[in-house]
Amino acid sequence: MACCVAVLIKENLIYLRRSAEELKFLFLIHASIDILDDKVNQLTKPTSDRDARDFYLGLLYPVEEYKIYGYVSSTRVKFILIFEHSTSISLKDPDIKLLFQRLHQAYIDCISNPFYEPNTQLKSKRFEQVVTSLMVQNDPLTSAIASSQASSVPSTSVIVPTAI
Amino acid sequence: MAWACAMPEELSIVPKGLVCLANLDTRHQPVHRSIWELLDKEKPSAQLRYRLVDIDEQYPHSKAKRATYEWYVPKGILKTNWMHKHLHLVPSLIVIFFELDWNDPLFKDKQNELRSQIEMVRTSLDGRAAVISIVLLQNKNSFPTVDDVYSSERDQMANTLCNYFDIQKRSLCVLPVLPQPDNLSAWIDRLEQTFIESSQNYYTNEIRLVKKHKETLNNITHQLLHIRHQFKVGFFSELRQDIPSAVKSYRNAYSYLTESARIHDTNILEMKMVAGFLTYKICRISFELSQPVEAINHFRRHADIFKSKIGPTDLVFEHKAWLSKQFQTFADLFTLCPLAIQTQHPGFYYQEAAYQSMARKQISQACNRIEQADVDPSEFLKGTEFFGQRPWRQHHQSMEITDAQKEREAIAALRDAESRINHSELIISLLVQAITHFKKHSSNRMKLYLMYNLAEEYVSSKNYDIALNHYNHIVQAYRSENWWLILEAVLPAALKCAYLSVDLPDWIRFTLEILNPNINLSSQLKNQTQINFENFLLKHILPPVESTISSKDEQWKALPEKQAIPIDADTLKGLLECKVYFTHEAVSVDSEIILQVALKNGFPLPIEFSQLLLNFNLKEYNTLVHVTDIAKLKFLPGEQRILSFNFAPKSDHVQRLLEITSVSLIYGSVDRTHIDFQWRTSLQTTPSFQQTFLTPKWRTKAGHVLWENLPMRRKINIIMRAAEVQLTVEHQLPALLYESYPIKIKITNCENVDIHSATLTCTCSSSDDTAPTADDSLLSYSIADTNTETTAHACSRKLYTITKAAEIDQDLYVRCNNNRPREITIRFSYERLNLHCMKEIVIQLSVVNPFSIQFQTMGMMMEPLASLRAQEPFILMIDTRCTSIIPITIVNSSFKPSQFVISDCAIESQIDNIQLKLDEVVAEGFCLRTQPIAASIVQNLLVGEYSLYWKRSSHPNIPELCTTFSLSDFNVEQQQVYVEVNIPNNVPLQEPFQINYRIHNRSNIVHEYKVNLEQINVVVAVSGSTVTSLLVPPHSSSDVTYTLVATLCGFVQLPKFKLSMIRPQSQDVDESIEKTMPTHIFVVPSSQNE
Repeated sequence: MACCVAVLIKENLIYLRRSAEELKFLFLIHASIDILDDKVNQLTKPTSDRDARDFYLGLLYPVEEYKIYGYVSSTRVKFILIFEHSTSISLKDPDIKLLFQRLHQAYIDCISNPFYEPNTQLKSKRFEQVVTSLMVQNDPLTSAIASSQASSVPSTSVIVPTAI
Repeated sequence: MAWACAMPEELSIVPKGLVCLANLDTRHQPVHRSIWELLDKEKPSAQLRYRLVDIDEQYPHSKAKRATYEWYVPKGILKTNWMHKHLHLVPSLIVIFFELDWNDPLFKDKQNELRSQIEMVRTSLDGRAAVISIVLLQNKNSFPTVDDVYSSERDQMANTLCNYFDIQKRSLCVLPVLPQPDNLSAWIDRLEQTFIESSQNYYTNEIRLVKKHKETLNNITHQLLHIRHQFKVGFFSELRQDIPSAVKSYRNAYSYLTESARIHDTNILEMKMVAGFLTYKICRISFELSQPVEAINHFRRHADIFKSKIGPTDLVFEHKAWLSKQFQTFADLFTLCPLAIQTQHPGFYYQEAAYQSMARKQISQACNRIEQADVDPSEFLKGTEFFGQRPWRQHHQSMEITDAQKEREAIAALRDAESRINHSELIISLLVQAITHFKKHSSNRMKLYLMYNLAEEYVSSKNYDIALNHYNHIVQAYRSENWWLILEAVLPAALKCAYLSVDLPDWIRFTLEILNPNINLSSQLKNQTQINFENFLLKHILPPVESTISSKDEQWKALPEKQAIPIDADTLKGLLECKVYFTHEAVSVDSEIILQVALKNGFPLPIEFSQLLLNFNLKEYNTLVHVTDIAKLKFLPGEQRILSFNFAPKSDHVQRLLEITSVSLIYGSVDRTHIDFQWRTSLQTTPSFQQTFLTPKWRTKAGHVLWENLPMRRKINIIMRAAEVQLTVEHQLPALLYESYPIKIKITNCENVDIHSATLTCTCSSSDDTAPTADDSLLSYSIADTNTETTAHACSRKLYTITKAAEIDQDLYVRCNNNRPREITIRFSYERLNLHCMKEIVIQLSVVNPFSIQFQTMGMMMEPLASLRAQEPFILMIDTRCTSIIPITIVNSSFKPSQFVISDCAIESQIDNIQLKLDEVVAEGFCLRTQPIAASIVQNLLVGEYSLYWKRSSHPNIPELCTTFSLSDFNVEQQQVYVEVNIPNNVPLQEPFQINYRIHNRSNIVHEYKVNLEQINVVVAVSGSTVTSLLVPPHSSSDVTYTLVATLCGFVQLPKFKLSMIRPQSQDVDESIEKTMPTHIFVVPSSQNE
């Protein structure tokens, strides 16, 4: 699914996982800081009509082979997911948002560890597991989305989560 | 590269209807020339393109249109010459200019001549449907006015002419411009309108003709014709300026091509090229209509569809070239559109074009050149009749390849041509364009990625110097953001590039970057890098050459023997760190400065520096901190060392700031090429709010200081030697206004010798920021003339000898003339051991008022008076209240009446040496009388001056101060009547006494009063009549005398004296006059009774 997951504080990379040791991912992540910063600035403007709690920034910029999505926490921690163009066609914005929310939650869990030194590399088994689940194909992801959707709607609702 | 990445020039021309102008002699006839210039001039919304032709111009032949396409198999989609033909050769309208006046004597002959010309044009058009239009150039004098009688006749003539020439009537125009045109442009505008109309009619007709074929086509064999026809319709629509239907037709053609047409290896190039043309047209029109979203969406779809249609595997480079060209042309179009944003701008498309070209380059490296050719390769590269077809199998539309041998040869020829192309140039130009756009949209980080690509491309095209520039920029940018992962990838390439361009400073810089501990390259590589670095600088062994790159030994040897290479060590982040620390913030000039320099080494192998030098803002110290001892400058990996330096400050640098400006650490021998590591900005003290690292216990070894915890202090103040004296002051705040405030200064000599020629200086400065000026205090060592107005802000005194351990006293008096707070600085200074020593005390002085006075006036009966009455006596009461916590003694007081006031007796002070504490009051009264006044009411009368002689009670020997108040602000009224009562102080019992009332008339008229002494009780009996009337002349007085007898002892009430006015009647006696009269008398027992 996702082929690269990155977490940044300001412009410093504190977590990176790539499906392949390609330099290109690094450049893409580094370049997307430009867009993220810009979008965050727009977010903080009082005139913007965005929901202040909406941290999902959507597709950042067009690249031929990849799709790069961004997400910023309220403390301006940046999350970046890169998908290969071919696999991501079926993905819709709400799905990706859910992926980000899982990643964000995992990040929060990880830094809640009292032994974690702020602004340093994330080293956590649990976090790795979540990232792995984001990166492997379909099954765990689909079920994860299904379960999170299911939990987000009341049990009496007739909406049945569909596989993506 | 004729086939894949070519965009025909005709495609990019904005189509406009073609109009041929015949018979215009622009060279010889000025009128013709100006007609041509007006028509041909650049207009933003021009709809037609004009071309000058000869009358016998040959136009392209028109093919016979087939009636049915039933058995027809199309050979291709679009002929290469078709667009050119319709843009430049086939006119929509031919205009023949001819000079002919209606009343020309040779009208018939000329008419025939013109007719033959028209026939000639008709012949050369050869069945093309272009309209022929005639413009008659006529003499403007012969042109009919509105009410011309000949107009109908002219009409008739025109009709005849039209019939004769066999043209439509509206194709005949008249231009009255001879011999000299007036207002030509207005005529031309009208003329052009008719041209546009005719031209558009022609293209509408052409479109109809093309569309007519549609019914005869079938969907199996004629797919290509569908595309071709839609393209033609689109193109003709553009020619007739019908943009919306042009887009529609192009879109139709595009969807035919992508959805219905069969695309296979043999025709893929043709399909792609036509699809590219259509996309170009659609996007360009969308951008022109300011619909960039439409254009982007179409292009995205186009790229997605064709990206996977690679075609023959041997010709992948051709696909990449085509893709690259698609992106590039789209980016070119996008550049013309002003609506670009940060996430959607031409830069991205140039970037992608560059990447496609890079991919093409990589593929083409596998292409072999043909060294010995059996067949001429140029045969396979020549032009074709249809766009995108193969020269060796033109018009071939089947899916199979018939001649496999020929195909192989042809592909080899194409690959040969590809291998001769300089891709780098193309890639670089694309990247540079992309970078420009990214820069414009403030995407600096994205720009870096492209710069990296650009640098790589420059390296591959052997432009090492330019590449090095880019590498420098990239490395610096990524380092400043701590992106070590990218640096790991970039640095080895950059180092190689620096080697190849024989740039020693850059080579060293990149070497140092690689050695940075944050760079996670293999230790073998890092060690080797450091060894190369050491070898070159210390042993002069040239860097080893990798087998893949050409050796530059010769140039390296030619480098100068001796050069100093400065390295900005602030940027080395972790490789070498330096901290400087003065142990104290300030140092007195007689003690030593202690400076610590901490160095930390991050080189992977042990390293040995040759010198350490510190530079200060005061040049005299530069040589003092200089280490050349190699043992002190030898570091193991990760080792940190603190070097300590002691040196004395120079005596003439007292009061100055010593600051370290730079630290430089030298590697290599100074008389050969060496490196000078310089720290400047990183020596700044870290801001105090930055978190200090808490060091966990397990991380600190005994005696080991964590680098982060080492302090930084690069500035030290050099101050004076501290004076070994005790300086104390005794005084009692607050200071009183105007007094000479006494301060006792005590100086004790604590030096072990006598102090000679010391100076005691006292200065006063205002501590109130709001009013720093107008300081009016007086400082003096003795009590000067106390009441002078002089001020002095400073006083100084030489004290000749103070013996060892002795104490001397000195009094200081400060007089403050206002209430502002101030500071008194007492400075004691002297020379000792040729050093200036000083001690200083600052006293904050607050100034308060010592007392306040209050005064009021009363009548003779002690009743308060609002205003004084002229010529009548009154009592002035003065209260003096002490308002400060300092007790004061009022020694004396004096009252000096003014000229308006007289005193009936001598004025004597009733105060004598009275001490007042806080809120205590002393009162004094004076009996005075006002002088006659000119007006009836006088305001703000000055009564007199009241002076108080006072001093601080605690210092009895200070002379007293005199503070004078002027008593003014009294109102005086002139009263009409004044009754002066003459009464004995006391009377004996039962003895008659007289009471005399003298009534003064102060007005200018005669007054008559009724006087009545009203008996209240029998205690005081009145003898005689009590009621009389009294006449008083102006400015004089009359007396009324009563004889009374008191019958009781004590303080008894007198009968009430009543005065009322008889004449003039209008006036009345003021009732307040009663208050001025005595009401009681003291009766004593009769002396006879004793």
